[in-house]
Amino acid sequence: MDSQIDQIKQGERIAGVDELLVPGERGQRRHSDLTARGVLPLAPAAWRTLTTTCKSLGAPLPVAVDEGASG
Amino acid sequence: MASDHSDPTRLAPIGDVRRCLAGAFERLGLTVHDADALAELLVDSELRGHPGHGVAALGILAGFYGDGTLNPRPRVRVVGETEGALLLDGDRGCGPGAPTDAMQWCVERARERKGMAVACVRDWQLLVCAPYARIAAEAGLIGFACTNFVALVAPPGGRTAVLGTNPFAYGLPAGRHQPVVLDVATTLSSMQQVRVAADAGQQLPDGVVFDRAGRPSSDPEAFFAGGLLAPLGSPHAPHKGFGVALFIDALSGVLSGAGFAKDVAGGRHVGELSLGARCRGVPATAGVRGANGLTDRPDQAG
Repeated sequence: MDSQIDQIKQGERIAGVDELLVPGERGQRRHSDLTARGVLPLAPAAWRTLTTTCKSLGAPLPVAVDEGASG
Repeated sequence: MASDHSDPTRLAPIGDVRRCLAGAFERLGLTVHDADALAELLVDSELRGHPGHGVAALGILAGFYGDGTLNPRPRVRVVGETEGALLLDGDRGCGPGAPTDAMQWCVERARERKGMAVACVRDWQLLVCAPYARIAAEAGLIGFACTNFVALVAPPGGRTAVLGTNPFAYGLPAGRHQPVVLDVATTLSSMQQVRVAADAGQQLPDGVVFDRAGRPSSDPEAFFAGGLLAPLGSPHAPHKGFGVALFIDALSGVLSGAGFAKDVAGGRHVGELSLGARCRGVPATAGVRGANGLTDRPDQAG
């Protein structure tokens, strides 16, 4: 598997592409980066769903943090 | 970040979001253990950049638990078990419980047998396939998981939805590299992605959905107004995605004894299949024991 992945990643790239990825790699990297930062960016609709559903159920409400622009 | 008229993306502490989700699921009737696991599943999807199966899914799941479509306290039971195959009844549960048990069973049996093992769970809402394929891959095995879903896809040239988005995931263990895990729907877009676009007031790439007349569209609302999802491979080769979706419906719906094709109702009667295979540099040959169910069931279903 390692050799297969190496061949995929070492292939020639078209202009403007920095890196070739294998399935799941982008998500794994995002997961690691956000976990290290400890924060989760939530789209407006997801934020609304979370707050309104928690409120209607009497569950704890989330608190947004100020960390400048989201990643 | 102060709120403004553009309603920005919010940053929330991961642990905080997890706690809120778990609190909501507990209040919907789940045990603390199951509520934590389901919250973690949504957070994991959100962290990996799949918001359709992330925090926004809370709204849909709350509706399903509220109206009895999903059972917050499922009694998962073993329907049948052989050396290499397991069938569980999920009792309309949702989240990591039964499929995690099923894949862990597969991993143990595949190791004991130095071969492969397969498990089906019927009447369970899987949400995402990747976590279960990843369990096998992280244990050094090849993992495969798939599920059928409520009918939203017509055959090429058709207008009647007969198959779901029917996603599958594989997990392949590697050495220096992380396991390779692919999780894809057999449609160009999952239903949740269409819902996220609709909520955000965004258009989709043209042809991702069809309107109710079967015409390609970029409008998420055209899908929700009786439209269809386009199979993977559309517009040039929709038979490819539709063909894979049919295979997944057979593996997860027909084989498990759950609903299949148009009998899969929203959140109910969903079947799934988990598979773990031991590998030693040689590709595992897939052969599913108990596949007689495939030939028997369509006749019974008449």
